[in-house]
Amino acid sequence: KVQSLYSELNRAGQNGDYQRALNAANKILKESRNDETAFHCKVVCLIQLSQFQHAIKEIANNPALASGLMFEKAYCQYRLNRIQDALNTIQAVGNPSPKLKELKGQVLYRLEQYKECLDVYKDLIKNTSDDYDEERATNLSAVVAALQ
Amino acid sequence: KPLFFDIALNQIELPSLEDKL
Ligand SMILES: [K+]
Repeated sequence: KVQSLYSELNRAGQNGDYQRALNAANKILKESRNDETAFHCKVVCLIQLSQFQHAIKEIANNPALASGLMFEKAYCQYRLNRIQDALNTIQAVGNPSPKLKELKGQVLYRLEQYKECLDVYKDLIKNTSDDYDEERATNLSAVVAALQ
Repeated sequence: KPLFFDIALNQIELPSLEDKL
């Protein structure tokens, strides 16, 4: 049963149908409530559905399942305008992943910590090559402009 | 206000479900 629900979740996710994917993740968690992968999927779906308050509540209520979801937690805080909380969450992670560094750059920009923000973007641009290189360069320009 | 993108949103992705299928 869980395997067929995962097939449905996978298909919905590939189609960008996050409501259907969320329903499947919830059904999996009903069968198997400590399923970390299904919980991760649930949080991602809630964020993609812009249900940031709901997502962060789930994270807060399920610390054992959410221990690997610090990026998602910090992203919710960022979108809920809890910018300093987002920075605290990011800074509590020992060895930040590239996506956490990406979010850190955005958080520092919102906090108007432009010097630190500039260092993050320089590092990101040097060490990243993906579909968002142009957007990243635009963000760097905004930081440089803010410093002047 | 200068243009500033939310790039991190694009990195909110479903985990690999390979070993669940
Ligand atoms: K996405």
